[in-house]
Amino acid sequence: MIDAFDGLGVKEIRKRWTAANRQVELDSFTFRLDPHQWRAVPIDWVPRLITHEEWSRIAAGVEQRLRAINRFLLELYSGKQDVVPENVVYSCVNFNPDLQGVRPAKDVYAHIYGVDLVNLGNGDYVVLEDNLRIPSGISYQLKCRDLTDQVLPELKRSYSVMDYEIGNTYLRLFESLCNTHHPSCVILTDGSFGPAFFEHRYLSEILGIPLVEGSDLFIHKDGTVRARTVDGDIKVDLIYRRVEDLELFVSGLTEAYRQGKVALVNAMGTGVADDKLVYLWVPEMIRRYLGKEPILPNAKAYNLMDSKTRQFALQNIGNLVFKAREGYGGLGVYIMEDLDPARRKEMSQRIIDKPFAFIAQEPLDFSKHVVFNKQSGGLEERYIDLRVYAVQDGEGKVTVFPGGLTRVARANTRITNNSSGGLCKPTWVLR
Amino acid sequence: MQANLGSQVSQVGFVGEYRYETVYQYTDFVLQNDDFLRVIPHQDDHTMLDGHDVETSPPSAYVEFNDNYGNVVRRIKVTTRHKELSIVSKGNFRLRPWRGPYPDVPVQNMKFNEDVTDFLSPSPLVKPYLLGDLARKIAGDSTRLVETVGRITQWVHDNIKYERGTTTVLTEAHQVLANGRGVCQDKVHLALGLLRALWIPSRYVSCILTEQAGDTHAYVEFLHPEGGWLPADPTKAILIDAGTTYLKLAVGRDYTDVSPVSGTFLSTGTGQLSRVFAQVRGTNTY
Repeated sequence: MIDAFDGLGVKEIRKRWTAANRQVELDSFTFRLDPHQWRAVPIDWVPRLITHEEWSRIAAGVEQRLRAINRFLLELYSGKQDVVPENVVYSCVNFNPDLQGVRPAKDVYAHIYGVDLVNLGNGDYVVLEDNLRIPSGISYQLKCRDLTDQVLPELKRSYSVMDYEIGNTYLRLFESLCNTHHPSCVILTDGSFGPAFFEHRYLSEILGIPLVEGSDLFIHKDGTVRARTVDGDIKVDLIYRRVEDLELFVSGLTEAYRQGKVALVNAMGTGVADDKLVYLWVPEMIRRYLGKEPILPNAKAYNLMDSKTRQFALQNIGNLVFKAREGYGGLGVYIMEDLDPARRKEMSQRIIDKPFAFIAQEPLDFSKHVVFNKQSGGLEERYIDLRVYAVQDGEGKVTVFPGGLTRVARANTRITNNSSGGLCKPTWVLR
Repeated sequence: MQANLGSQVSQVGFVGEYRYETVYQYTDFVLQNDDFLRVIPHQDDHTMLDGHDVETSPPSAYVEFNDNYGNVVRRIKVTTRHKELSIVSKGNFRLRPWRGPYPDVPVQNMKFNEDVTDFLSPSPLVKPYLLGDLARKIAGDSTRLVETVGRITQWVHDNIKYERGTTTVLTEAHQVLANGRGVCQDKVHLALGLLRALWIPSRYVSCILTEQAGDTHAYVEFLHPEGGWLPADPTKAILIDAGTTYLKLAVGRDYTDVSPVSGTFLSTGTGQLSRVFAQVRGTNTY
């Protein structure tokens, strides 16, 4: 691949990079940083290559994890769960006591799943976290892939890359959760001021289903959910929700859901499995529910509710990474070696105050990849992770989209989230 | 102070019913209320429950589980619109007489059958490392456990003036010392800090008083290598021989672990505690 780049020359690469990133802006391929600022997602177009063999393992591992998590949620809300200790699972912010005994359509809670992996070297991938609330970023994966074909057509020709589509998979998922043949589905967004609005609009376009805000939906007197449209009110069978506090957006939606009047993707209550502390027990869920050893291990993590473990963590605070249990998207991640003593002390006080609110992990030495530096014209190495997306439908079929989204950390850091200022990178799985 | 060192403690039990009520009021409608309740008595060798119940208005969905310290936590979720949330916990209980006697033992090299890390370490409102000098001064020449706990308990009782309205639920132990006044909760925090500074495992206990209806009360429990967790009350100046004074609700590192109601609600308004009332009815058993 390096040869291919040498063949193009620095000047040509610089020209293409500039043109492609302008295209990204023109397509409004952005996320929102704060109320006043949108940012185009910066992309480094040098693709990351994953071998077929490596990918097979990743895909099987992700599927296994998603199936076990769904089984855990089913057991949990039917009061039979005994893998995760009660004081862990019931102290979870995202556990809903009012959903006990309520079963989601086709017994599937976790439909759309994004899992963060890092490669420790030699294709040894470990799982950093499970994203099951409203995982975002799949549009970046698609957009990255499609634009790369334009930016580096000669490179694409010299590799045989696994292809995939997501539109039909999503639509099949939605249909499999409804009892009608052509269900009426909507995407519920928090509006154009939300951080992931580009993605909501993009998915609405490729799926051909309307994008609605909370105020567009209401509960009809027969208990069903209706959407106000220019052609009158229509009954809604399924909401692909991209918001968390549903009741805040549509008053009465919880009750409509409980009565089975509407399907939700992901189902209400799924957030428990997004919890950073519950994560510690996912390998055990796989053993118990599937009777198999986990293909993708967890990164080593510590439960700070255990007093001895907490003392150990407080004594070794400088060597650890702390994560808020309900954090996501890089929020609530504290890497101690990057912080000064005053901030570390503040962190230890927070752990003493709320030992149940955090987990600790050891910083990992994971893999790097080259990015093109436009200023110097050279290639430089940065830390990368891999966010893989998967879908589980109502017939029990799991689809893992090949490749995923490679996220690149800023120079000298290991935090790779978009909101932390990193780059994205196309990810190719070779046939 | 009623310390019966090495002798028999009073052999009296109790049978009765308890009731704990609390009400929160909000300035605007609350859509959802998600709370952790620690209002069900904590069972141990001394305290037994014969049936318990928690009623909320509006009604709530719930789960019950044991936290790290063996307290029964009821997690509730109210999804009916409301401007007032009332919680009533009630049930029947028995108190067994304390086993006793509890011989005094040297503080040095005490060995325990349980993990005491949490009850020796700093906690949110108690920082023992700020209280070491005073603790050693109060302990003086005492090298034995019960005697030392007695001196600390007596000192806090005598030197911290009982006065309401001078502290909040989040006042820290060293601030109580500086202020020289506070309520039972504050006295307990200071005593915990002094005890932990001397390497004596000790914990916060919230309780209902069997003899006096009204607010809840707080006292200290210290760990005795043979007798287990024993009471020391810097407000009432009781050491070990508490008889049937307390119905224990919850134990923890300090108040933040035993707070009867903690949680979040969805509303544009603000909430405020408007009533707490705890009461026990029953009779002594012999």
